[in-house]
Amino acid sequence: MTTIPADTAGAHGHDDHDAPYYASKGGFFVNVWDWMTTIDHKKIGVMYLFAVMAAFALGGAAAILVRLELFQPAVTVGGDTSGMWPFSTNLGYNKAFTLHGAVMVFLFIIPSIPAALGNFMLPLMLGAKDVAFPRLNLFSWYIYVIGSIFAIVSILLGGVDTGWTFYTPYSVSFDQYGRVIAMTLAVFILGFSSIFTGMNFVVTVHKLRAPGMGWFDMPLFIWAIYATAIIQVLATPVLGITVLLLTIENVFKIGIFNPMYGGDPVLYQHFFWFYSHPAVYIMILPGMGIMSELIAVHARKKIFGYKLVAFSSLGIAAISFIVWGHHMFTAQGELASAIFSGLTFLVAIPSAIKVFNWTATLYKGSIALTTPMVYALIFLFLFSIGGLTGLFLGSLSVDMHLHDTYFVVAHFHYVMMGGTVMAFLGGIHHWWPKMFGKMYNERWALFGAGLVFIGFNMTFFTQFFLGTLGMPRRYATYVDEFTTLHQISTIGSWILAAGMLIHLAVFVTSLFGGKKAPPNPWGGLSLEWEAASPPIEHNFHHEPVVRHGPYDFDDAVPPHTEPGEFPLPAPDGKAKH
Amino acid sequence: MTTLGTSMMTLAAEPIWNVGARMWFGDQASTFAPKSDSLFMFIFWVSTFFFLLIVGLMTVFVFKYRRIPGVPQQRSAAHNTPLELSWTFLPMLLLAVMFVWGFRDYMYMHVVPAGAEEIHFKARQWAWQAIYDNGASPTETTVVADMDVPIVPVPAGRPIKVLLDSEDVLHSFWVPDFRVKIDVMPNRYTTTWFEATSEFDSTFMDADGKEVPYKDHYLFCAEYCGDQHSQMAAIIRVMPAGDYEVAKAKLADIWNGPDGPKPLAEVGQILAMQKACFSCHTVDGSVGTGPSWLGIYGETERVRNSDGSMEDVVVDENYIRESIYVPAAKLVEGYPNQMVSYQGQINDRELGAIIAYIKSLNPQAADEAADGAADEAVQEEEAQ
Repeated sequence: MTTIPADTAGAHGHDDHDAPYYASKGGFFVNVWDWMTTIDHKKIGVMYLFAVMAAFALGGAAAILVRLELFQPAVTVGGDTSGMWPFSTNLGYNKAFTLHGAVMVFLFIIPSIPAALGNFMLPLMLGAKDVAFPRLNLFSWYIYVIGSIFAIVSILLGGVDTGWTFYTPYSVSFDQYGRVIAMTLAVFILGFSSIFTGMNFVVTVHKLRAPGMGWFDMPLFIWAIYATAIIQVLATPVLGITVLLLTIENVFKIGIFNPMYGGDPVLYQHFFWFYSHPAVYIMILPGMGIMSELIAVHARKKIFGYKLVAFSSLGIAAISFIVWGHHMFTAQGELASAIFSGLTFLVAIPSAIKVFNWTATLYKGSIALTTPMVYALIFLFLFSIGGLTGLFLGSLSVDMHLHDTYFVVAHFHYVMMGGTVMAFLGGIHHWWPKMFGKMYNERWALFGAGLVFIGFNMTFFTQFFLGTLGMPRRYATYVDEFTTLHQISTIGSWILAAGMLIHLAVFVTSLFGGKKAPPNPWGGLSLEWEAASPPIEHNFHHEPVVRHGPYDFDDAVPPHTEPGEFPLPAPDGKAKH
Repeated sequence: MTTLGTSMMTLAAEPIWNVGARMWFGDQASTFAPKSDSLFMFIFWVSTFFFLLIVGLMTVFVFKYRRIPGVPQQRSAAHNTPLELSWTFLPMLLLAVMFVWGFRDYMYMHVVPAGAEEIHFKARQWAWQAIYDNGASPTETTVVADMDVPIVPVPAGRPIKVLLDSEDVLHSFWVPDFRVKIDVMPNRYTTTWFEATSEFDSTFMDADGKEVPYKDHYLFCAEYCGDQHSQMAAIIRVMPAGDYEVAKAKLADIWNGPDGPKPLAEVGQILAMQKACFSCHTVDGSVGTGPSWLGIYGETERVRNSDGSMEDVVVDENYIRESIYVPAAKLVEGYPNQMVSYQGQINDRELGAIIAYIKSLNPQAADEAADGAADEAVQEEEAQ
């Protein structure tokens, strides 16, 4: 590995071909300006990473407050009527869970993997210098920031208490002092960020693959990001239309969704879920992509049934557009419910295929229990529960009981958090050495992962029982029967938070004092591992040429190879140490 | 012998996959509940099998194929078409079973049996009002989640059609022990039905001194509807059909008691409960979504007119009437514009009773104002 000689640090980055992408360009303001105007996908990815992490912290803090309030059956502390604090009034609780949901969905989980890790890794894994439209990429980051500002303005104005779904007529009929408009405008703007990122990635995958890389030579993370990008481009405009109609109704009192003016609230639900159901797959597909990378590299095995896994991503993307009605089994007609129930069962198949294939990949592997691998195993455990509990909700007669209960809350947290967030955490640990050039403390990271696993199950498995026993969602108060289960859940949330804080500490210590990372610490075969850690500004010295598939561990790797001493077929023919 | 025979019959009637249902569910208090639970438990055991299979294999592989320095890696096939086809298509068969089964029982729940008696449930922020086919509504209340909620008598062993609509936003009718849920909308009626089973765990003494067995079940609002969503509950009280008829008949006339007409204020109190006034207005002086009624009659309040200007008004009969029919016209300072109009919901006679009740919460002012109001009435008559 080359290091930056101190005397060239002030020179222009273009002149220094071996400097890391984040090398200082001069004084503080020069660097800030450089980052703010960068079109380097890696810097944009890192900026997204910090932004979504901040959103995750905000949404997480709201979640801790929500759980804390639920420790007692009643709204616990009286006196304060401002409605700003979750413990004092119903209104405070309602605002807290709305904040949690809206921030986690729109500011964190939708952009999390594609915009942060995807931005950084996609061109590297394709062997490209950047994404297809670098300026659009920067633009989409700024749109994300503007959208986030609107969301924060809405919170500063007093917050909304509509739930992240903004169901009409509640969201349009009472005094919300413009906060609903601010929040839905935030969602509208954030949607464009998502669309631009998606368009960029679709073109990048089509046009910028390295010589020799056919469609089936792409890492499965790329397939997943590609399928995600297609959904982002096709579904997000509907969300934009929906919140625009909502705002028009709110401002001009034109009847669209509000029966008071002659509109129909069920129409809103159709509009909303036509986007928001595919959005569920915008959230989970990239996580599935990371899973394939983690399992393959850390078990050093070709993904079992690569093509089936790749096509199942596309299958999920396609079917995701025609199952939105399963959010409305208690609201729509019988025929519609029957059709949507059938289609919903269909979407279970590609997800099941992936789980079976990942499990089969472990067979005869060489499995290293690194933090990324442990997160992959946690994903398999939790996502299986999340996916299988979806079968209960897809069955019409059972959903009559479970709809809008804590069973649903537990189900989607097992999928979204147990799936996507666990994959995200695994992915960050996996690519951390590549992104920042530093190793992290494996032992502490594993300890954090253990706490996250235990805390997560305590928090959310209890909620399946709460749901079947009769606890509805979005309840600030509850009947005494549910107290014990709620308290176990709340204590679990503290353990979960402790695990997250340990991860944060591990990352911070790694940034400031971590061991220098080798280019290929895990022994991966996809192209990002051929770049330096951290990569240089233009990613590769020469355009890389694909000589083997991303998972050809059986053929391309001689036996007895330890990670870190992997032969790196450098593009210029000289093996790097 | 009989016990053994009965339990064997129960075992035979109970499918094997229902084992473990007690862990998941409360009472099965309707004819639909065992159907819904049976499919739940079938899916539960299928899921448990697949979960254990995946996690079991994962654990075995992680242990057996852990990386040991110096041990060369084994080669293995990268795909196996028959295997992959089988785990694509075999689960489809199971899923088809779940779909058909779920749909069949869903239709059972959605097709109301002919001749079912109808009970109309009106949903409002944040209370349920049941209206029986004789026009009566429940008058008794109990406390659930710090809120006075109505007790709704229903008959056991008889199908009841539930007709639902909302006065304001979306709500959802859910009786967990019945496993029945349906959304309630402001712009259309929705329907569902249930038949409660004859299982009782308590008794009450009715007016004639007869002991009536019953069992209570929660009715919750399951669709988020605003501030006090979590307190929008009711108690469904299942009792034998004969006793239900007696109870329902007794509710029919709230204006008259056993000793002739009731005092107007007493009727007003019942109406205020039925119309969900108490979900926002307390009568003990504590702050709710709206102003407390305690002592408000005859007081002077600072109000915001609908055009935004401020004004002081005396809370008299006319102000109360206007506030019920056009709530946004004069809002007491510091309170949100949250109330929906009760025009068409509360008739003149009922309005009089409610005003009488509010007056009774400040007897002193009521007496003082009596003369003034009488004068006004005379003036109005003269004007006409």
